[in-house]
Amino acid sequence: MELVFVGLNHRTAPIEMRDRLAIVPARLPAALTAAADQPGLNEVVLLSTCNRAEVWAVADETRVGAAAILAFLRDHHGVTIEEIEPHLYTHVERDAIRHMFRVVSGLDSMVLGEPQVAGQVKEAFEAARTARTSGFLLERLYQHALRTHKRIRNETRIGEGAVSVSYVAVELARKIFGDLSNRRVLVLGAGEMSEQALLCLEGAGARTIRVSNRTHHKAVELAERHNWEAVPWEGFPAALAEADIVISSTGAPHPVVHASMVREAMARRHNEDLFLIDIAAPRDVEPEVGKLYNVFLFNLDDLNAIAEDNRRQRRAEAEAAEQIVEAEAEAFMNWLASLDVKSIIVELRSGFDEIRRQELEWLRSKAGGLSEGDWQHVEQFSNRLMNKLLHRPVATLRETAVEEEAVGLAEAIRRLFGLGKKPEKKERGTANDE
Amino acid sequence: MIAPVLQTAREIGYAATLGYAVASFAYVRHFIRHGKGIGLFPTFALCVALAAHTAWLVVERVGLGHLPIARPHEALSFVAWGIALAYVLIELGLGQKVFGAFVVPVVFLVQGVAAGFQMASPWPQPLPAILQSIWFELHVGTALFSYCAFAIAFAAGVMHLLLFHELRLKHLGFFFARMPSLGVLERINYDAVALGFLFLTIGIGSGVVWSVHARAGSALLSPKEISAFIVWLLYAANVHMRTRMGWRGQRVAVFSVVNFILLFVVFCLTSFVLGSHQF
Repeated sequence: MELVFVGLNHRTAPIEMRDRLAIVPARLPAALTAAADQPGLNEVVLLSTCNRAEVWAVADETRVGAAAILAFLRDHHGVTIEEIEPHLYTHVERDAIRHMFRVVSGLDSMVLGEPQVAGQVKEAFEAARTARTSGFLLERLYQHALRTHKRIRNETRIGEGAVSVSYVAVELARKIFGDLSNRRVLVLGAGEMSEQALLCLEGAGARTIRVSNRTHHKAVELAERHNWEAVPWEGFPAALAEADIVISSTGAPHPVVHASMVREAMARRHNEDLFLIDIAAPRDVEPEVGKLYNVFLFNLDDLNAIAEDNRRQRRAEAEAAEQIVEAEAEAFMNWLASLDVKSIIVELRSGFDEIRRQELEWLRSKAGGLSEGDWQHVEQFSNRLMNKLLHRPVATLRETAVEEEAVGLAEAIRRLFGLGKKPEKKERGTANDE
Repeated sequence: MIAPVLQTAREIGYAATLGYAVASFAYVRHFIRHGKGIGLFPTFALCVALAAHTAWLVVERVGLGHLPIARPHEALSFVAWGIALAYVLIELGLGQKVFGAFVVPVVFLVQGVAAGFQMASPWPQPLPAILQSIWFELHVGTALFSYCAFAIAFAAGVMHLLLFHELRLKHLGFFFARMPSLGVLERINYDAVALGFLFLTIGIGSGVVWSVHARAGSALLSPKEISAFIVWLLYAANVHMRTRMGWRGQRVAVFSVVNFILLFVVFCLTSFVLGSHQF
């Protein structure tokens, strides 16, 4: 059983190519079955997100497995191997282990350290479980990936600090107001930018959202789409007094929010904190507004600078995270190696042989009067006894075909006989066997 | 006769001081490391210290026959106990330890000074007859509780200013990553000042009533009385500004910080330099 991962992501493939290999959730079960039907593939999980399309598989043999995955991609997505191959990467064994750990932990994501991908991988595994295409090895690897992810979350700051303008705005709002659930939001301009920032704030709990736009019907359209409230453009200065968070992104060539308006609004709201987010270019809010008492004004440049700072911090943390991935991949490799039936048999034999020799030595020191011929018999006897005792367990180990059962046996034998504690013993065992 | 009990109380008091030192270190470390690492230890250390401190209070109350608030170092220690208790309640409500990094060191500092003075102080004499009254405990106890509340407001004010500064400069760094929101800090500041003002008013009011009864209205103008009135006026202004004049955020934070510094100076002056009440 070999791990073979084939896929492409935002770094290796343009969006058109990623779209062609994308699988919508409804069609995932059929795709999983089709992939698992390819000869040579034992376990399959399909991961499809906006930034990546990957096939995670366990195959009898690496090259056969990679070819089978390519065949699946070709048949299922109707692409030619020539067009996709330049964009694909293939990871096997240790690289595959490391790759899954990195993907789950967000180290391979476009936004470094983002948490969504962990959820997407979880869904991919759930789908594979339902379709009965995932198996023992991928599941174990996934469990280990989750542990790695958790360690990285706990030990590094890779997931901290917002890295997009909208989330920076939300984070700032949280730092100013705390709980956002009773906060009122006013939006000037009905463009896409405002909509995005609003959805983020709404996701963070903000209620009572009002939209105002110079062309009123656009405000009404946007408000109706999301069940918000539209305010006529002439009414926005008055609405300032009733808002805690103001997002401005009009296309106006000159500032539309003047210091005098805000000063008046602040007096009417008894100086309650006011958070103004100006994401328009050119700016919508006069810079003097930022100097008013209890007013916090951030423009697009400020937000971008903060996001960039956070990105830098995440990159700095990435190194520590990669080290954790490396250590955990090593641990998983060791576990995998410990399951190898051949090496277990070799270790078992050499362990028994060691005991046999020690006991012969003991006998030699006690019973001095035996002839050379007698000694040969004693030696033969000890060998036969050892082989007879080992025959059943070794045969069972070799015969066990179901992987899960074999792993259980392997782990039990290692524990019962104390195998694999010293790596050098294993090497000596190999030499003895030859 | 009472000395052995009080000796025990002293030792418990020192143990509590040591406990606060450990807890301060743990809270500050927790804050700097941004909550990674041993999460429960700071609270555990603080609760152990607070338990010891409470034991001190009980033993002293039994040994002395009144609350240990008659002498300056006793009063300081009582204040430290009150702040620690208030903080533990706040941590329970807030569910985070950030505030502790600012409050627990204050507790340690106050208790440390108290313990220092205690070491140098002789065994207490019985209280003058005039103080042997329930009015004494009511008056001093409530006044000291108000100091505890003002100390909490002070810590919240300092944190507010640090975070406000980073937000206004748009340079989000150390404090932005660690502090609770301005809203939460303002709330703590507001509640603490309101509660403290209430206690202070009761304290001064009961003092005046008691003094009129016990001393037939004489000697109301010693430095202690005048300064107490000044402190009351300062906090009255604080409450007035926020309830009537719409003061919010930074200004209120500055007010609470300055108020407390003045209170501290006045307390030290009247306790150690100018002399307390004259009887």
